[in-house]
Amino acid sequence: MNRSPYLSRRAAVLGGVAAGLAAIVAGAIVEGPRLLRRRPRGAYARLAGRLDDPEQAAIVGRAMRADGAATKAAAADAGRRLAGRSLTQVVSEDVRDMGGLVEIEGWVLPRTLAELCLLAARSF
Amino acid sequence: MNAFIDARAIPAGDTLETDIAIVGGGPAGISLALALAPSKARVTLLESGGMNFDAKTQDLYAGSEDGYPYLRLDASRLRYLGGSTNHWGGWCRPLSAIDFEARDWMAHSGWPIARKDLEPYFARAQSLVEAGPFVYDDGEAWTRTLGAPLSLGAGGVYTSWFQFSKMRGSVLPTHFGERYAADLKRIARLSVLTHANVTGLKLAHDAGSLERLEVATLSGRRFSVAPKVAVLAAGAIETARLMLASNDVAAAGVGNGADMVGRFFADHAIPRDCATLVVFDGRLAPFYPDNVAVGGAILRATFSPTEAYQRARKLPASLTTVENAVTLDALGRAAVATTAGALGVEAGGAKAFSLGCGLELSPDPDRRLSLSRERDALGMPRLKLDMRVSDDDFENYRQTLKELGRQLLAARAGMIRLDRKTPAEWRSVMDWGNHHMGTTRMSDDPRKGVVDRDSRVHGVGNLYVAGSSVFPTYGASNPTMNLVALTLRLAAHLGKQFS
Repeated sequence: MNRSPYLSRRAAVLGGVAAGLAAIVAGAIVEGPRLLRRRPRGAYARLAGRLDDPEQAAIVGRAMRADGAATKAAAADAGRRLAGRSLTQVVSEDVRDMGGLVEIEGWVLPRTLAELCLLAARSF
Repeated sequence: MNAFIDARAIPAGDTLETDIAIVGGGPAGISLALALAPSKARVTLLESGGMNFDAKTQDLYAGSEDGYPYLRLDASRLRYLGGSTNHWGGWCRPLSAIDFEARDWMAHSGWPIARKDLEPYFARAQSLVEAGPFVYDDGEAWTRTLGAPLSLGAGGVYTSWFQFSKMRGSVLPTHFGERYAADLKRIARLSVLTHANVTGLKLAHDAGSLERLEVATLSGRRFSVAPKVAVLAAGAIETARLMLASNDVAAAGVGNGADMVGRFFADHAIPRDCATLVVFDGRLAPFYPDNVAVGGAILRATFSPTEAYQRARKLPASLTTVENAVTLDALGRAAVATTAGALGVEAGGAKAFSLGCGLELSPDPDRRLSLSRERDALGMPRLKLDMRVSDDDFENYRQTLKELGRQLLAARAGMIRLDRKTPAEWRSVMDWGNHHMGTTRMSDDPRKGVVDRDSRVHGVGNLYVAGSSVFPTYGASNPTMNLVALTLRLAAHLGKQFS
């Protein structure tokens, strides 16, 4: 019996399903952690959401000592500075001089980034 | 060939006459003897030890230490031919121009000479310490095949370069005694007396000149050397001790009319693990954490504040070294991931390294050596060190580290953590360079220094000092190569007298 030079319909379907599954697995590997991340909640969620990974940032933010008033001030400052600009733009501006830096447990960080870390810590 | 003379065989009571007596056979004394070879002077070099370590001789260095924790006085130097080059690390770098200047933010700073006065002698000094071609801040071009320096944004810190005295297999950097013994023996008008301890400087009655050196051996012989000129090259601790202890004519000691001998003792503070460097892409060229051999030179990259930055921020000199790979804790990993994300760079392969430093201390007249009541086996008073360190020195250095961190962020290349803040934290990681300096400081003003710009002791016409004891300030460069250059300058000065 001669074999058809073309794929059978069944083989084509199975191949498509396999490819689809592979794409889903790959997507899950790449994007899964992001999808599984908890989202920041509360008053500072929008600002904390500017961060790539607010949960990681919250770890940094929890090392900061700030009361409610300081947190509000940080939110106001970060909100003003980030208005209409990307986070990368703002932190690049922060690191132009020493005044734009803060220390958190010795880590030297851009001020606006530290403010967002603080807000992230208040958002989980 | 002129053999070394064992002073234990010299008849007691003899007086040996010579043109120039050099007290001490370390890098300064040996460099001076070598440099004076072309002159017509008869030179006698007196070395306390022999060719090898001897515990009884080493014990002559023992003293006491008080105040800020410091090394034992007999543990940080070696008393035999070659002196402390018998255990040095070989780090070399010329002092910077700013190191010589009177800095308005640093009390008691300023040499009476400038770097340009030493520059004619750096090449020969480089040769004597066997550090290969004179590369230093051309290091980037020399190491191009090994990788690029870490990218730093514009600012006050730059990648600076040290060179190293050559290492031969497992042998450590140039030991001056072992390396130059044969050369010394070939100098016809040079006598090297070993086991010869100078125990006193006998001044003329008017205290205006040196008449003779009193010498003793541990075997009990005592004799004298009567030189036309003497050069004390016994290191910043022992030279001060000898001047202070020689107090029969001048009650305060030789050259100590202004109570300056022994004051301003200094060393380079080298606290370990003072910061953590993170490189976002994990790629750090090998010349940061290790010495690399290239083109006949051994090089290592460090971070230094620029002169402009030192002036603008009123900072001391310092160097920052990359040390060992370290693992970050959860906070550190979060800080790196968050910061890299905000800067728009990938940090999945980031690596972290501990940073060390070498720090210039502020000159302090109360950080001083003085005579104690204890005496050594030869009857000489032992020394007491009152050690002090200003907390401001560490706070100032911290500013330089922070600037380095800022520049790394600006270049989106990495970041740093400052690991020490309080005085107690700095003290917990403190170590020292064993770079004794400052106790016979150089100044044109006899009220502010012990030696003049020619290294001649104020008020004593034929007595000089060679070595880092004359450094009024210290920079962040290791002293050996610089003290050799300064000694070669002194040799040129003395050579004229005996040409």
